[in-house]
Amino acid sequence: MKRTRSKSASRTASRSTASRPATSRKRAARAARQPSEPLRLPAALEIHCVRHLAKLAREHLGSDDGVRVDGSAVQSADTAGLQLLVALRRDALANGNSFAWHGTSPTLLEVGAVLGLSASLGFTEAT
Amino acid sequence: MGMPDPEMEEIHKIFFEESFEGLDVMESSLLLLGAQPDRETINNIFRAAHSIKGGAATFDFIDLAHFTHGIETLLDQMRNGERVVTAEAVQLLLQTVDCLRGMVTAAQANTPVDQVTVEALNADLGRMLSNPQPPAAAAQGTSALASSATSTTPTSAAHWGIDFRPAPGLLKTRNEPARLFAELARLGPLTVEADCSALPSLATLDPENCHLAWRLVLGADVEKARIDEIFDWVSESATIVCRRVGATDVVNAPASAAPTAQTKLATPGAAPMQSAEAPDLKLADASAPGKESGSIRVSTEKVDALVNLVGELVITQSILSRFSTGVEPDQVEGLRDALAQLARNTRQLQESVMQVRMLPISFCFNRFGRLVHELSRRLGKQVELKLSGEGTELDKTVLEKIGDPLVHLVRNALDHGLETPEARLAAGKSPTGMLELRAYHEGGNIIIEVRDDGAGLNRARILAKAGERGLLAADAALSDEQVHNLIFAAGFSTAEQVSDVSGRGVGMDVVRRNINGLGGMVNITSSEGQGSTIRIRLPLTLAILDGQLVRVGAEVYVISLVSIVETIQVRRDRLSAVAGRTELFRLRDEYLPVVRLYEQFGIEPDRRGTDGGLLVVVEADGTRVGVLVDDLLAQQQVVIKSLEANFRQVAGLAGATILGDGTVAPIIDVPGLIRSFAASQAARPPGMEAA
Repeated sequence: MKRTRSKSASRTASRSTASRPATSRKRAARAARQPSEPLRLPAALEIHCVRHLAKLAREHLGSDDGVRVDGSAVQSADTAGLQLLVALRRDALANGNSFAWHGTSPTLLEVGAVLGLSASLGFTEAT
Repeated sequence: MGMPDPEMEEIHKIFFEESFEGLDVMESSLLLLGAQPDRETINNIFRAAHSIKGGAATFDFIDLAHFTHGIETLLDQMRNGERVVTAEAVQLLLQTVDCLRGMVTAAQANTPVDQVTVEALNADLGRMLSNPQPPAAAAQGTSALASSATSTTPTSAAHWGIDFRPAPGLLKTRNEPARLFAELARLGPLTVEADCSALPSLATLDPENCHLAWRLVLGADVEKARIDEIFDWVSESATIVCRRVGATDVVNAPASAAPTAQTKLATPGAAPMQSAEAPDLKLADASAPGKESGSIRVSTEKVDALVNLVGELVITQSILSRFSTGVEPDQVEGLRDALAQLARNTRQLQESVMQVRMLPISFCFNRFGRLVHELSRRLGKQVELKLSGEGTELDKTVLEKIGDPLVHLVRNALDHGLETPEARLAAGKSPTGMLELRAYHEGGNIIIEVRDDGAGLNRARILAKAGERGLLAADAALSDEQVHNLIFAAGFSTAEQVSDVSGRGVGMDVVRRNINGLGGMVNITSSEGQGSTIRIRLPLTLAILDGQLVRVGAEVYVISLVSIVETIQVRRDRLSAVAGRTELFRLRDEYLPVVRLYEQFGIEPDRRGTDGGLLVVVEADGTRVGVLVDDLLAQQQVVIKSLEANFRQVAGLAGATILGDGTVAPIIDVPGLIRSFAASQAARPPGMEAA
């Protein structure tokens, strides 16, 4: 997993620096870390892992392929977990990027509904 | 937790107390659940767990909060019908209750918790949680939200608008809004609208803080207290504004014309969320119906001070009554009436103050459900536990001290008394054994009985064992009762196998010593094959004693009535001096050592001889002695004053009291007296052992 990611990252890096020569070094650097696989959510989408997940989400934010999130493995979720996804989706759309769900588990949908976040998470489109 | 803050310590103390109470509720409800699963029981357990978790999180006992969270999740699934209540799950939950109790105790004592157990149980919980089960009944719906939304229809147009603005730290305290909302949805249809406007960009987001707020509409005409209850634990870390909307029938709003009842449950900790609504808080809270509670928490010290004061009052009253004779004849009548009234009043006051210290014995009995459950499982026996008289009240101190002896007796009854199902069937009994704990009042005492329908005591085996241990002479002719009560002798155990349940040979003697220490008595009656009954007689309180006043020379002593067997006139021809100076008095077929109080306490008696003297036969620890006194005076209730607290401990005395004429009368510590007497005899050449 780690190896494939670094390989693809280096590929994107060369492409983006080539296409956008001098706009922003920072942006390029961020883009250089773009993974092409969807962000896979853990089985327990809970507060204890949100710091780590936020780090991953930030890497996904500027992805050229759009932000794609796979929530099919989620077995339990809490406010902290969903809040992070709301921020990710909102920021992605605000940056003119796309946001798409690659699978949503019933738990994810249910907790989203209980918290009144279905719309903010784009669940209505996904299902 | 850094520097000890007295205020915080006080709050922690309450939290610990409540946690222990919650754990007791969890335990007893879990046992009930094992026998007969029902939703209300699960709810009870859940609520108790939820409170502990909330409190733990609030007070920063993170381990405790985290551990309880797993328990709560499991219970939540049971409650929602997502998980069948299995014996395995109940057993696991019972173990977690034990573990929690350990964790709370550790938190209280500031000692490290047993991480190994915690982690093992956490792993077990995790395994159970990650192993989803089909719902108990498909019709029960998939979630609380779904089921209540379909089952409950708004009864009127009235509904509640709730603004819920958590403080940033809410989530770290493991208080989960989703759970709160699911809880609310049980009350009626709930719409949830999240406000994400304060959510910072992902780049600056602290994902563990809560940046969301919610506007909820609850379509249920419920009392506000129901809602407050749900938000109870987060009220410290959130701003909650509850508004009743569109109510035509104002049930719960203040009497003023205001159509809305606003309550803000907030603390300075949630300062950024607070606004101008603050004044509404007091108004609404004052008008809201208070939580019903039949009890208050009073510190034991305060009650003790009251008890002491009332004791003084009783003394004053008795002093006063002595003067009723020296007054003008025409005033005497009135004075007597007044004194009679004073006597009545003080007695009543005393009784009601004593009542404050009284607690129902159920506090002690409740733990036996669990104990019997665990032990019978471990021993492979089937046991039905019957409790009766749980409402019988006794003094808190007595209650606390009787717990351990009772545990020992119950363990013994389970281990040695009740037989295995096979043995019972073979003996023509039902395979399920019966163990009964019974409490009742009898003549100013409380009687606790531990009864089993097991094998009973085996006379021959007890005698053999007692002989082997040198506890009695080979030719002693003993009644069944005397033989049975030998099991209370030190170093006696008839267990053929030493088990981890009982049978280490320490115990029954300790049980008797503890009960005697409380001013009580214990004895056993048993019939072979039918079972045994252990009867404990305890004073209702340790502050007052029913005493017999006796006189030796110029001194008056008090002997507890409970320990007095009988009082007899000394007859010279029944006295015999054995080798050394020990005198024995023959009472029917028994020889009693004679204790001369004047020798024990070094005072001058009326007469040194025994003629005309009275022998008070007292019993303690199964030993009877005759105490020689000059005269018997009145029997009366005396208020026990500690000698230790007011003077110093004196061997042979349990305390003192102040009599009506103001003199101090020592209270004789009968077991202590017998022990010190035996010790002084043992120092002399042998002679009385054969008796």
